[in-house]
Amino acid sequence: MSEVYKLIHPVKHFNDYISIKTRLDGRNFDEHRNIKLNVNSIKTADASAVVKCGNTTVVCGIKLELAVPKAEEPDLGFLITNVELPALCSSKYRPGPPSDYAQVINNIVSEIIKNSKCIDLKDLCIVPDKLAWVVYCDMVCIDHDGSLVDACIIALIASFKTLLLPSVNYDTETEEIKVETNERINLKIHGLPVATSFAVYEHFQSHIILLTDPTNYEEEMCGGNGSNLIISYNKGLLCGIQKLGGGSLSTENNEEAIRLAEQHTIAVEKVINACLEGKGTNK
Amino acid sequence: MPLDFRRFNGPEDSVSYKIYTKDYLKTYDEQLKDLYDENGKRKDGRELNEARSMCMFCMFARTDMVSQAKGSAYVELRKTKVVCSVFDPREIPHQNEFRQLGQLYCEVKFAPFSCPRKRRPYVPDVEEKALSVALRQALEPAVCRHFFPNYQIDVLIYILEHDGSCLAAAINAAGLALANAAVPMFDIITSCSVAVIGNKMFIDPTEIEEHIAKNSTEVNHGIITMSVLSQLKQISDFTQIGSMDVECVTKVMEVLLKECEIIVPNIQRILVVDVVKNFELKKHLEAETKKREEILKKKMDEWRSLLNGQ
Repeated sequence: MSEVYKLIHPVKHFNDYISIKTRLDGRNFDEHRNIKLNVNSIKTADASAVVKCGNTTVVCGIKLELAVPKAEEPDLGFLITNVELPALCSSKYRPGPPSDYAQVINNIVSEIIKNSKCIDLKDLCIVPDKLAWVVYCDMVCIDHDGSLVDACIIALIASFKTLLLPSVNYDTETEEIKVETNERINLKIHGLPVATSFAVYEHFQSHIILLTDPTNYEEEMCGGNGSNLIISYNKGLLCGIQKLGGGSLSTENNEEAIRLAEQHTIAVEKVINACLEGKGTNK
Repeated sequence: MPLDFRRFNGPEDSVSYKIYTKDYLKTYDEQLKDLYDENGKRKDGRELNEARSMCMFCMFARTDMVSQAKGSAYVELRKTKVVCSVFDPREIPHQNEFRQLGQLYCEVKFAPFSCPRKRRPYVPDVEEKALSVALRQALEPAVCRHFFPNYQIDVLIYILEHDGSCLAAAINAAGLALANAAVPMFDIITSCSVAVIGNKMFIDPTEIEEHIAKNSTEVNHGIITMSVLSQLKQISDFTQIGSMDVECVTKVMEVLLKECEIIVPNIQRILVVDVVKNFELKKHLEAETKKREEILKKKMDEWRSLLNGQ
C-alpha cells in the first residue's frame, strides 16, 4: 500500500514522514547508518577496503606502479584517485563512459584528499628526478544508496592505512631497478580525513531540515543531484565544504552541520581504528 | 594506457613494479613445476580434479547483493569475486524494427585492481568484450525471451578480483541474479571451466594455471568453459581457447558435464533460501499491518461514537 502511495504522491509521502520528525528507515534527522568495514579482502590489489554504510557499498583498491617524476616537480610522486560508478550500482547509470555525476564525485573526492594533505607526495618519491611511486586508487561503488562521498573517503583512508610500499633499490650508475616485495614500509598518513554528507530539505518554504547521511531516495527528494552538502574534516581542521543544490542554508544550519560533521569524524575514526586493530600487521 | 579525459590519468609511462621483482623472470618450466607438487596437489591445496565449488569454504554465493537492482548476486570462488545485477526490462535504445524475442544486454567489466599482473584500463578492452559476448551466448538459451518482446534486460557483471574461471563465475552469478530478479527462465544455468596443459587437466583453474595454459607450447593446451542447463540436459554454451585434439576435447566435455551438475544443488539451496526469506518477510509485514489497522479502527470507532454522542 505504501509503495503505491510512494509512487503516486512522492512529495506528500516524504512530507508526511518529515512532519512527524522521522525518516523512512526510522532514523532521526541527525542519525547515521551503521558502517561495516573490512580491509585486505582483494589480494590482487596492493591494498583494499570494502565499506558498507547501510546499503551503500564501496570497494577501494590500490595498485602501485613506478614512473619517472614530472620534470617540473622532480621530488614528488603521484597520487591518482578515481571514483567509478558502474552501471550495476543503480538504475540511474547506463553502461559507457562516466556520467556527469560520476565526474563530479570524482572531482570532489580528489579535492578532499588534496586539501586534507593527508599524503605527502614527497614520501612517494624514491630517487628524485629518476623514480617515484604512482599510487592508483580506484573506488568502485557496487551499490549506490546515498552518501557516496562518505563511503568513498572511508574506504580510501582504510586502504591507505594498510598500504605497504615495497622497498626499491635503484642503482644510479646502471639505472637498474630491483624491487623487494618482502620488505615493506608503511605509507605515512597525516591525519584522517572524514566526509559527512547531508541532504537539505525545504519543508514548507521556510523551515530548513538537515538530513544526515541521506539514502538515495532522500537525495532524490531533495533535488536529485546527490547529497546537497558535503563537509570534510581532517583532525579538527576543515578540509572542504561543497554545496550542490537543495534548499538554502542559514548560518545556524551551517553551524549545526559543522558540529554534526565533527561528531561524525570521531565515530568514523573509532570504526577505522577498530577494524585495523583487528587485522594487526598484514601482508 | 590510452588517455581518458573524463577521468584522472596517471603519467603515461608508469609500469607495474612487479616486472622488477625476482619471480617475474621465471622460465616456463619453472612456472609449470610451481603449479603442482609431487603428490599431485595444486598450489592452493586442491587435487587436480577438485573444483572450487565442492568444498564449503571455496564457493560462496548469495543473492540480494545490490539493493538498487531488481535482482543481484555475488559469487566467490575462493579468490575470484564477481558481482552481478539485473535490471527491469527497458526499451531497446536506437532501434527501429520490432523484435519477436527480448534481448539480453550483457556487460562484463573488470575492476582496475582485479588482475594480478597489470592494472586494467577503464575503456572496455578486447577481453572484456569477448567475455560479454560469451556471457550473452550462454544466457540466451536459458531465458524465456518470448515473454518480453521488443525489450531488453540488462545483465551487468563486475569482477572484483580475477583468480581464474571468470567466465564460469560470471555465468553462475548471472543465472542467480536473473532468478532473483524473477526473470522467467527455462532452467538453472551452471558453468565450469577446465585448463589443459599437456596431459594434465586442471579443473576450475586459478589465474596462474590459466596464464600458463594459454602460453604453453605443448600439443594440448588451452581453456574450455562450458555452461549447462542441467534438468533439460542441454549444453547452453561451449567456449574453447587454445588447441587440443579431439580425444582431449571429448574427455574434457564429459568431465565438465559432471562438474556442472554438481553445482546445481548449491544454486537451488540459495534460491530456496531467498524465496523462504521473502515469504517470511511478507508474513511479518502483513501481521504488522493487521495490528496497525486494528488500532486505527479502534480510534475511528471511538471518534465516531464521540461524534454521534454529541
